[in-house]
Amino acid sequence: MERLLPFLDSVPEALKGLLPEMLLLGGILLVLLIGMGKQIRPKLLAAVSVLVLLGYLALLLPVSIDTTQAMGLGLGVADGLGWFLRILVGAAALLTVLISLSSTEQEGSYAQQAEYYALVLAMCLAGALVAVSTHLLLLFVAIEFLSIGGYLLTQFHFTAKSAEASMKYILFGAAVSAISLFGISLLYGFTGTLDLNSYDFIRGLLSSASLPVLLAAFLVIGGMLFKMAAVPYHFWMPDVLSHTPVPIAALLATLPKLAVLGILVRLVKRLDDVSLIFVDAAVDWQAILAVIALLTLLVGNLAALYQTQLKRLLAYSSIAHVGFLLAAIACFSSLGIQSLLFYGLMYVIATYAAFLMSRSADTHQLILIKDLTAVGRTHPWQGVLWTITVMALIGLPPSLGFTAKVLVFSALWESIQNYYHPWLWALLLVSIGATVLSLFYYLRIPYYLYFKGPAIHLSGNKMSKIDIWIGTFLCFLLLLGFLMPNGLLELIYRVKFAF
Amino acid sequence: MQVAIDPSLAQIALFILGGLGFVMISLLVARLIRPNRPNPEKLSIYESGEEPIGPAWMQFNARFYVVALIFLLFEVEILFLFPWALIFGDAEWQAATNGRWGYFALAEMSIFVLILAFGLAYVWAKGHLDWVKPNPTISAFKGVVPEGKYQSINQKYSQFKHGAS
Repeated sequence: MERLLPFLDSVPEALKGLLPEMLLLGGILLVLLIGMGKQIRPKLLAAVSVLVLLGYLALLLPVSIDTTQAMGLGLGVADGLGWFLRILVGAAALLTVLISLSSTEQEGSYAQQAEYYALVLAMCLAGALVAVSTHLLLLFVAIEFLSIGGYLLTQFHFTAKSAEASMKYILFGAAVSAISLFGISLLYGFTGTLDLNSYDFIRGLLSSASLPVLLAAFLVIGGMLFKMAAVPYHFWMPDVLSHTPVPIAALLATLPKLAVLGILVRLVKRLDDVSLIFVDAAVDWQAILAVIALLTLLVGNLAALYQTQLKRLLAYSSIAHVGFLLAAIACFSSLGIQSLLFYGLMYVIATYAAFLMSRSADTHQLILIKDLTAVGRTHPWQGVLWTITVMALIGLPPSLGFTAKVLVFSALWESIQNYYHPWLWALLLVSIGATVLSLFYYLRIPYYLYFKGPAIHLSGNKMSKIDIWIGTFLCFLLLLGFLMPNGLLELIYRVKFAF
Repeated sequence: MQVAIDPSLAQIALFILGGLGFVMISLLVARLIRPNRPNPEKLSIYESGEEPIGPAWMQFNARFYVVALIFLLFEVEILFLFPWALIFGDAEWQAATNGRWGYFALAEMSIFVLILAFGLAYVWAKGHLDWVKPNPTISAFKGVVPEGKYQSINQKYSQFKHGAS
């Protein structure tokens, strides 16, 4: 009763904090409204989606990132980490809409449908909510929202293969959701609250035995690892990515992964705080994360060696990148979080560039690496863009990928100095080894582009003007970020996260 | 031994009895006033137009799923409306907040219901509520046997069929 008035007073403030997300909600309804008409207006739909996403990003820009304050009636937190992830999620959705403007004949007619644009906006909304959540209830609802969007978008080739991929994704996802919900209910049983920031949560965890807490936390974190496609939850990724149109594949490879980073960091931090006080049976979360990161790096890179399909290769490479993201989290330091954000940004740009460039071999729905044969000689500019993208994915200078990898390695090195942790040593060695290993499969792309011949699909290698422009812009960003990283680094260094 | 019974259980018992009584009375009234003309179709178990006895692994018409999904949408709406209705008009809360609570709750539920209503409008406009009618194509085949022969044979044997049941 006495809490009622302060609650009502806090509602306008909460709505103000969620203004960007409410704009997205309005955009979803507007896009569906346009889709209700008899005529098909794909241009109008795309224009509205782009405007809504630009508005979302514009509303986010003035938000302060130096402070940490509760938002959304205590369900979330407005901090630098959440802000950065919200921007990345919005940028990913915007790029998806932009590159679906020039969808090719092989990709099908998904870009004509209002539902497609509504789902992309919905994924962005769900991702933003996951990124800011500190409350397990909001987390579960938002992750489900994100998953359902993903299941539906997987289906947008409208072929038997995409139905199969979607079905695998749904079955796997539904099982993981149920498991994660079970974990959340266990945590609620131990603590009596779902709010990660509340004092009751910490006290409840401290007063229960460590094994059940470990189990429950593992179940909850499993749900997030599934969205990130980390080992052992990575099986859905190659199937889903290889049977969806390019813009959707790029969206599914980036947006869900980035969205869950924020809550994963917050939850692991909370659990780690608790286990530091648990002297008798401490759970070493750093070791657990380091092992998951290590396995993800190994599986992603080793499996990528054997791929002949381009999109499958990119899928395994994205699993390998998730390994680096997890390694940055496992540092448990401010520098780790900063390198995580830097890596996340690089990952979005490079992934979109790679998926976009895969259209240069888009002669049938399953794009083989072989289809790139001699494209570098017949279409020189496409070859240049491909080379820059591949350099960023490997982490070679002069590209943003190099800076990002150096930051992750230096964060790991700093943590090794601080914690003297054997698993961090192993992680550092494996991540360096994985980078070397990745040379072998990534370099196959330039090899086919320039050294193999003769060309097999001369007519299929044409990319539309818009695609070339967007690809050029993304590659320009990749180079610019390497040459002039100061502005970006200053922005990222403002994100303080006390570990 | 005395067992203390929660008085609220009596309300639940009353609810159950009332529910059972309602069903019984309406069945009884129907029995008294309805005409009684049974046939095998009518006597079979009602299963929404499906064959009631047989394996459950059979193909359903896909349009059942669409209708079921839309039904679910509004069932969930009702599920949320019930607890909302309990606290919406709480006089104590209203008094404590000078009526602001009521406006807040009303606005919140209006947004929820409007979005769901939008969903209904969407499926309506998209034609998902139209029950697809089969469109039989009449064969252009012309047989040598005159049409009247078929009719007389049908009539002759239909007498046998009805006689058997």
